[in-house]
Amino acid sequence: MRLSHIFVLPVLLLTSFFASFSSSSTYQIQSYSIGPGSTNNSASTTYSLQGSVGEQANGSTSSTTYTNHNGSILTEQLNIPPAPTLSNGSNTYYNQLNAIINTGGATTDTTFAIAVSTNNFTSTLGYVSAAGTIGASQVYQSYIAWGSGSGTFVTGLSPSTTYELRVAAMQGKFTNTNFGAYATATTAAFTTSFSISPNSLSLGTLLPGSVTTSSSLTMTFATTAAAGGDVYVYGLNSGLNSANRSYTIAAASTNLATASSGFGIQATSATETYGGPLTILAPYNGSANNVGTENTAPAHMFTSSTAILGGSASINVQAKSSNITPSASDYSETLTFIGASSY
Amino acid sequence: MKSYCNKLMKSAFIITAGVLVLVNVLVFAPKVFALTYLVKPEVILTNMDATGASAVIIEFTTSASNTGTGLSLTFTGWTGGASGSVAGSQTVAQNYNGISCTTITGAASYIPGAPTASGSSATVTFAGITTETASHSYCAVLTGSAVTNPTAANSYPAVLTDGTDVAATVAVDVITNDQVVVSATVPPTFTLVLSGNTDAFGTLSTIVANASAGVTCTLSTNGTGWYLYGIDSSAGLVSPSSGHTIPALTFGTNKTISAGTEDYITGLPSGSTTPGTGGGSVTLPAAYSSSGLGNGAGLGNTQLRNLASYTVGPTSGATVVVKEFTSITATTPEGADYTDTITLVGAGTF
Repeated sequence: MRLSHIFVLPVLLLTSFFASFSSSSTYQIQSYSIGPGSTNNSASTTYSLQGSVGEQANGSTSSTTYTNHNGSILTEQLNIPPAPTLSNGSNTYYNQLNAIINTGGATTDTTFAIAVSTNNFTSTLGYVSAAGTIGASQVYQSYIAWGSGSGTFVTGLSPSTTYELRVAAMQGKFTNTNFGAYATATTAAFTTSFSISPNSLSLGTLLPGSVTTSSSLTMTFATTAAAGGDVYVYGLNSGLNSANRSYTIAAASTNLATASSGFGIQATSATETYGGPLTILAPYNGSANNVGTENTAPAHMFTSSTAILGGSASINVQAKSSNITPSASDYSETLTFIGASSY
Repeated sequence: MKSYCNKLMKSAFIITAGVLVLVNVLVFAPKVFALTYLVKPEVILTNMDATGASAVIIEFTTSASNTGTGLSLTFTGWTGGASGSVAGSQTVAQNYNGISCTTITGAASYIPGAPTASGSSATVTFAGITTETASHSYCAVLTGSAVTNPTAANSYPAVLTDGTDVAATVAVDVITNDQVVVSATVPPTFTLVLSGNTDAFGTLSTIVANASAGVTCTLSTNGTGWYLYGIDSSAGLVSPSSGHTIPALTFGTNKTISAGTEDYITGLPSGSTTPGTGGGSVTLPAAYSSSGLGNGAGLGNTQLRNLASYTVGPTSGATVVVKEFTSITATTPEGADYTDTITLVGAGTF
């Protein structure tokens, strides 16, 4: 017994140097054999050891997308995952990309890691973490953990930048694969755009007791901000003001059809080509002669809760004078419209 | 032998223990601090015009772990001249034009503490902010000409940094013109409405002064006031059948007529005037201001006489009552056709 211990120790020494794949902190392969009548000590519920007879000695050849192990015959090899499917949100994601892993038919217990590059994997920028950020370590997660068919967002990216992503797989009984083919996508530009036109509106002559509606203003708004943005409006005089008569037809949120006099703003439509939606906020979303007020501080007129492209809206102003609204030809108001993005 | 084997075993185990070095390949992953981010940071230029001077309204929500006190806003590249600039002197406030930034942006609170700010190069640095609450939305206003926009219309990045959250890059848009000038004209208006076109005395008494029913004049204008004038076509009550005229008194002097003397006057009872919506009061010239008991003055038939006026401003529904008074004698010729035509003219002032 004691002598067997002496002989076992050197074997263990050799094993630890030359057969690290067959041991771990929790198990150790004592010996194995191939063929019928083996001692059956090469498998357990948590591992198995497979052997092969004969091998070639020509080394291996490889490229960025495959490796051919000419020097050995692998008994089983996990499928290298195909390229993932990437999306930049129809060119609205300026600091992130969506990546959907293509499993390549892998079993459900397969886990995957995602590598990121900006130079076609001449070098690797990093690896996607479970949180979606790019880190130094490979993080293997299941397909489900990576968002399944909805994918996962890779965040912290730079705008207007081309990224390549590729995937490696790992499964219980097999060594992990090389990273597969990569997919390419470019983040959107980091931008916000806003316009309002024309820059002047004439209501003409306000007849007492009649509501006068202006021609339409066109407002455009687009932003790649993930949280969308807002459009505000404020005025100089809180209404139509006559300097000559020192009188203001006051702005109000009201139905001008029944009011004795007043001034207000109304948005009549809001559309977008992507994202959004661009929403008209009360009190500017009225119909007929229902208008919203304005004063010298910005009032929230439109909003989008997500990135939006091609946002557009029509706006009009309406006014009504009474028979005692002082006569003057210099009634005016300067409206300022502001577009701002929420990142 | 036994002792030797024991020693050998012990040595072997020791050696083994020493040789069987568990090589722990420690993957020293960088100690990663979970990154946290501001939620919905927003930078609002109150003037988006190229070259325009603008106040700035900011809004942001702290992350679930951010209770920091440091806040800064950098307009990347706005270091002066055509590139845009940040004012060195900054004023931090809660309100913009009297309205709280919480109302404007929907944020829960103004930034806590007694914040101040200063600008240097392209950055506004805040001070005096006390510990923020995590997962809380804040706003603030940099008033006046906090920044001057670049000369070129474009989308520009700005970086908002708060506490321990990752600096947030936002975009502000500088455009050609963010304003719309609305113009309108309100034309002058004046209206005079008479309650009727006849004013009968009925049968005249010889023992008392007689008064007509009166005609109510309603006046409205969006001018600075109005005037009411009258002129008598006949200078008296004329009976074609008898050929007699009850003469009108001369104009200019207020007189109370009495029975036994033929007189004919016009008067506006002062108690029957109302100024309308414009408030103030209607002015009645002394000659035609009447107590309603038979005093007034003649209108004459040579020119319009001012009967009433209003100079307060625009008004609607002002009223005056125009009455005629007459007295006859026992010898005044009989006739059922005594008549006169008084023309009333109104005008607004603008």
